[in-house]
Amino acid sequence: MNRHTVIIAAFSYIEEVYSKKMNIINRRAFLKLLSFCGLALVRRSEAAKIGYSAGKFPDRQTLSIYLDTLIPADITPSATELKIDELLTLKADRNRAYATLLTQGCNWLDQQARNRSQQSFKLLPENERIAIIASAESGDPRSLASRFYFASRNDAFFHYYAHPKSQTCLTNAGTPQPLGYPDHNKAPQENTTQCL
Amino acid sequence: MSIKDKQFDAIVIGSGGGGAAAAWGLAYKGLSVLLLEAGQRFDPYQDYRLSTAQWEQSAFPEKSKSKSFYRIAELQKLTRQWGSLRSWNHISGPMIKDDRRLGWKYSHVRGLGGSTLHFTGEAHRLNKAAMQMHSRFGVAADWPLQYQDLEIWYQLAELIVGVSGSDVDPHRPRKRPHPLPPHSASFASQTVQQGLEKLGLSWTPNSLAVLPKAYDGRPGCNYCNNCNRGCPRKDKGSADVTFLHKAEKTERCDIQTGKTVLNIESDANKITAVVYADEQGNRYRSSAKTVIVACGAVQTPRLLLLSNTVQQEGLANESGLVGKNFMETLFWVSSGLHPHSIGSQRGLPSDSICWDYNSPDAIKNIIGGCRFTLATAEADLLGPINYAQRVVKGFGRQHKADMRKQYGNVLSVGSIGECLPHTDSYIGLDPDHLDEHGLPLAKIHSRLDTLALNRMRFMADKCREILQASGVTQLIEEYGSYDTFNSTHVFGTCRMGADPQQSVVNANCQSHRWKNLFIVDASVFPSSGGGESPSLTIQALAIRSAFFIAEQMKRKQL
Repeated sequence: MNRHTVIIAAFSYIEEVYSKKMNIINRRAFLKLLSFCGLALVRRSEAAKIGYSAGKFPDRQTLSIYLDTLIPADITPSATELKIDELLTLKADRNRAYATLLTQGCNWLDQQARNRSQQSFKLLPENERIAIIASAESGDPRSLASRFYFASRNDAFFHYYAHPKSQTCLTNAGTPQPLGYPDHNKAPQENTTQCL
Repeated sequence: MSIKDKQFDAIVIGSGGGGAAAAWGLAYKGLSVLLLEAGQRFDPYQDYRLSTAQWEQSAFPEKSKSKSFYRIAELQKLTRQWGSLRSWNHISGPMIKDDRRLGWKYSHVRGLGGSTLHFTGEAHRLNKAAMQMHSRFGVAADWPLQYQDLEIWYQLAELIVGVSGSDVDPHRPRKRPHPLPPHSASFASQTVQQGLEKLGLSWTPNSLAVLPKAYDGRPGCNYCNNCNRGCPRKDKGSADVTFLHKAEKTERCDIQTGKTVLNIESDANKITAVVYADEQGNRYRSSAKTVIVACGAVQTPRLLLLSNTVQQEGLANESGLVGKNFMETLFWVSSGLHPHSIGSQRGLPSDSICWDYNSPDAIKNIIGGCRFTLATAEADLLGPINYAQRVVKGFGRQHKADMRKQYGNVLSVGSIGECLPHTDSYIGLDPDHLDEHGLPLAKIHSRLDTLALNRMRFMADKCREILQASGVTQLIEEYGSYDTFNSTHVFGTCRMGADPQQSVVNANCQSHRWKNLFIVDASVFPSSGGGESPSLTIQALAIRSAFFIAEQMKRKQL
């Protein structure tokens, strides 16, 4: 399990503990919780070493608007509604190269926005934001814009689609167990009209 | 350093398919067994997290030391001639950007049960024609035993594991039916079957170590398709819930996890002891009348090469063949989008199989066979994260809409083919990279020759043809062994044979030189077969060896 997965597992565990409204946290759970807190402390000290304050991503607003353009709300929540921005900045907190990529990527978005309409990316209407992101998608794969787009896209989807609230209208997207798919040898159920 | 002296009838090193089956066979026959496993015990109920929202974010869980350390030597240059075998994805482009083959991984699990913990559960018998590759085709080496010599041991392994499948297969004649009936084919599998029928190809129920119904205290499968992430129900017959469970029940098998074997000691005539360390670095020495090595085709030769004797560099290396004749997994997977809803997340990873090209002479002008199965699970296209990243292009509202339309519509077909040995593929030691005990790591040397690449090209072309015939309108991703070393099935590095000059062990998996040393993993395979998964053959050989050892001990010959 890589470190990134560890911290996600930590958060999901804590969320699980509280979502179940456990009144008594047993010893094992408590020790687990403590060890995860220790993990978070280690991460903070690493972040300090690279001169980057946890939770203080330089341009969090641009990143959030960008992520909500990648994953906007419709019948399922937007990226920021599921706190995907926090998860990406958490990764930036402990990974200097990733922090640099996100920072430079957000700067690139702003630069493109100013070139187009003299204002920052976060103030642009959605169609213009989409056009800028589309240019990153189709650009030279070695360019900063392309690397930023594909890395953030992968990470955003990695976290977003792990969340049960993202899975409305995705038939059979829930956990594989404990029920499995006893209907595996039949044609799948079609999505309802609301989902199409 | 603390050293304890213990005496057992047998010490088994490694608890994967071979070690587990040997341990059970020996204990069943009344012998006392010490089983040493470097990794940890996995608890299916606790460790396999298929009921949690994060199930898709990680593959098989990792524990302390659940991967062995090894190095991969620089691999071959990639050329335009084989451009159609490059791995690619329709969103991210070529997977390997350089012009050199990437040494990615030797995919395995170090843990009680070994790589059977993450295996798909295929339980294949070898095609009998694939066991005589040298005498028939002048390649590899002949097996020193025939299919019929193995048949009863296959039966026994199938009974213990709980294998289901079709009884009709001319290449693998059976004296008894499978212990369990075949699984019903998933809807995805039925869709591919329609394509195969158009091509005049067959699609038969695969032989699987997965239970279609309750058997031997374990429940039937519920078709979640995630065997490779570890089965939390115990319906998949991994070695921990089958052979090792039964071995422990005999109360004659002492299983020690977290124990890494460092050296096998010998005197002039026999193996005398095994030296091993726990995770804290404490060292132990145990002795037994016989020692069985079952660490897989990468770590078994490493251990033997590390265990020098007075006369020889490398234990049991009188032929100089320990580590040589390495054969890897030659594979290809093509994935594409079907225009209709398939629900391909559901089912078993490879419930059906096409054996039509499995015989060594079945592919025109190419020696060595291959097989085809559904591979959506192998490609890990089972959940929304992978769909969002790898299947559905773009972003924004359109991406969300396309997710809803395309989710579950991917079909993947995969092929595994024969891998033949040659001098450039072998396992050596890397003195520049040492493990925590100061011992050199194994170094994997691999080269795919023209014959292998021609076979792969056939496999890739056929996968595409099958998908197209099945209704797939757009390929979205392909990958294979040409540009990436990524091997699960590895073979050949302690070849078995009748001639001590040309092999390491005999037909009983016994060292030609050291009569109380046995090797029971796929390193003894003289040839790989035409894409068969090796676990059942490993287990059949291991039980056969265990029973042979018990018989020899009874006669005081060991």
